[in-house]
Amino acid sequence: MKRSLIYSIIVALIGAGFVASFLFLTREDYGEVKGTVADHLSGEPVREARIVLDGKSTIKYTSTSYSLTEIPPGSHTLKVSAPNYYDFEKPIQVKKGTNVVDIALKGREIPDLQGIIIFTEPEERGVEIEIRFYDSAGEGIVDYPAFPLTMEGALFVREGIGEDYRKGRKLLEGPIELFWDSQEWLAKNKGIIPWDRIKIDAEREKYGILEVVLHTPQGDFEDNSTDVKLSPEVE
Amino acid sequence: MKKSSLFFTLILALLLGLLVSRGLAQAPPIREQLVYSLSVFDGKTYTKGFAPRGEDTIYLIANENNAVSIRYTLVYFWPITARYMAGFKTLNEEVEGTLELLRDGKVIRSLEKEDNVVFYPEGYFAENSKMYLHEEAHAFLQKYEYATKEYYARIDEYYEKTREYREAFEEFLESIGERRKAGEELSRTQVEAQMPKQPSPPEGVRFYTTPVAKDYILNLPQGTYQTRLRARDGTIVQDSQKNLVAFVRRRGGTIGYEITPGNRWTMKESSNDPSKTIYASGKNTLYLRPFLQDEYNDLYYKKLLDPQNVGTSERWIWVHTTPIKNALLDLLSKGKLLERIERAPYYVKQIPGPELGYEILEYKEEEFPERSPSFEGHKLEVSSVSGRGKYDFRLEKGEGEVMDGSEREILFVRKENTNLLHIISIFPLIVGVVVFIQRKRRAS
Repeated sequence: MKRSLIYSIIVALIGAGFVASFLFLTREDYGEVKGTVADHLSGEPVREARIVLDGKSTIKYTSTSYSLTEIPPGSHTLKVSAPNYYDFEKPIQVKKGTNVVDIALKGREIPDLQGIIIFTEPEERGVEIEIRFYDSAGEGIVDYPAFPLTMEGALFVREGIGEDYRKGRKLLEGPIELFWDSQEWLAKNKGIIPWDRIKIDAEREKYGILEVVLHTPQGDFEDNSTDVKLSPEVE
Repeated sequence: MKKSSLFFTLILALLLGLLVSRGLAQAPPIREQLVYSLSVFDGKTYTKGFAPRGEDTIYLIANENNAVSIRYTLVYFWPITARYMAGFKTLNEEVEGTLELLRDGKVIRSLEKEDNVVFYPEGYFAENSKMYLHEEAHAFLQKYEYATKEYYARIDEYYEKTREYREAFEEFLESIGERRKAGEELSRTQVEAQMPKQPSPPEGVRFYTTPVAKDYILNLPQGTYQTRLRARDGTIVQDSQKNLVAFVRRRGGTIGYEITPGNRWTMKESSNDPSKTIYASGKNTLYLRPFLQDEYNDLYYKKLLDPQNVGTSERWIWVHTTPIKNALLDLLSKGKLLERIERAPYYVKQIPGPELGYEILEYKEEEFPERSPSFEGHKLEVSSVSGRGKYDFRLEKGEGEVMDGSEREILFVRKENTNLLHIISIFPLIVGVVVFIQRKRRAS
């Protein structure tokens, strides 16, 4: 009885193998090329990324994973293009089964970039600077690649009352740390001035004037903010 | 090997195989997916839907215009309805290209997008609609836009007349007051006769035309095809390959009835086969709506309505298409005409208060201003036909001309002495108790 049970299990496993292999059989004749396509700096999805291989194509809008099926095994060239990114081309050797090719697209430009607008907000780490890009119609630019941008700025104490104000004591000058906020829709590029860089007399010096220059591959853009809250407590 | 061992082995193999395949078919998370967005003719109107990647076949009624577009959207599985849902509000990107139609692996037609509208002659929520293409599409949209513009002009006029009416009414009240003060005696009838007439609001636009859309129009003879999208750069778009089945009705032009019972008006039933008897019980009112009907394959038709539906290819279903409006319903007993019932509109009035009920009233525009009828039909009162026995009804068009296939037999049964059935059901229990007592006695 024991022997026949072991025998039965072996036969059952072989049977299961047959069922499973039958499910895969048709897929095995071709190759599948899959992987991710993303912005090389931010790792975020690239809107309208068009992936072409051996007469087949697919477009990605909000997701990074792609898949092209039924590709004959052999040498092929994988081509990827997307608005505002450099074209990507890579010769690949497709084998039967799954072939993983991850693609990182490099940004070419921020479309129709005419200038920047900055907004500041006191956060836990320091003064956060939102950098918004605008186009020739004066509208905010939403879809754009990530770039290795740099920013310099100077922060002054704001003196005076109401609209009658002027630049006072210089609090700091120099490069400002930038970071990428993937949760944002309009202002993914942000800067931060840590609180420890802002030495103030908290009783008298509540607001500041910030002047910044953003260096981009498309030129330098300036803007300023005249109502920078100089401490996290200011309401 | 013993027979039982072999059986055990086979069962185990099947179970393990199923486990492996189930692992492959696990519900995926939200995914960006290429889908076919559909606006298909279902025999009476246009139904919107989509075919996700998992559905490899699209079903259409042959020789009718059907609009198709190919889009990227977010698709997710909704366990409550066990269906894939599309998030068109979040992502809805149309893919440009040429839709290729293939038969036996050869491209037989390459389709470009065409202008189209769906025209609803009796309003958006009515039962019938028609698709128009090209210049006709624009003409029908213009017709609707013109009618809407005219309606708004009439509305402005109505507001102006209402304002004038209010002013005139106030003046009228003042003058009546002054005349009464002056000693003039005026009866209610006299006052009402001189009262300014309140303007009535203009009638809204009854028909509706959708905005002009650009889609691939599939109007195909009966058959099986394949379809795929060729992008502008000449590549085939991944996941755009689908099978396409254009099917026709098996039988058509016969008459079916939609039956609305008065005591549960939302639970409609139907009578599609003249050879089958309709059973009615108790005191009730039936509202009968005759339709021309077509018979379609169950699987094909259900998949047409929604590619994710399941159906049975061996079954056939009747689909009510065009309502028959200008006919009389004859009620007969043993060939003798008892009643000739006209089609009339009805309004379902909710009863206010804790009763949570409703009553069905004949719709009269003056009684229900600014409301539309809930339904139309031929009212057949069961109580009016003595409550028991066999009757026949049929449709009569024109001068005594009976419409073929409209005859039905209706059998009224009374719900009587139903308590007797409860007593009968207790009988085996009584027998059991008697047997139990007898055995107990014998044992003691």
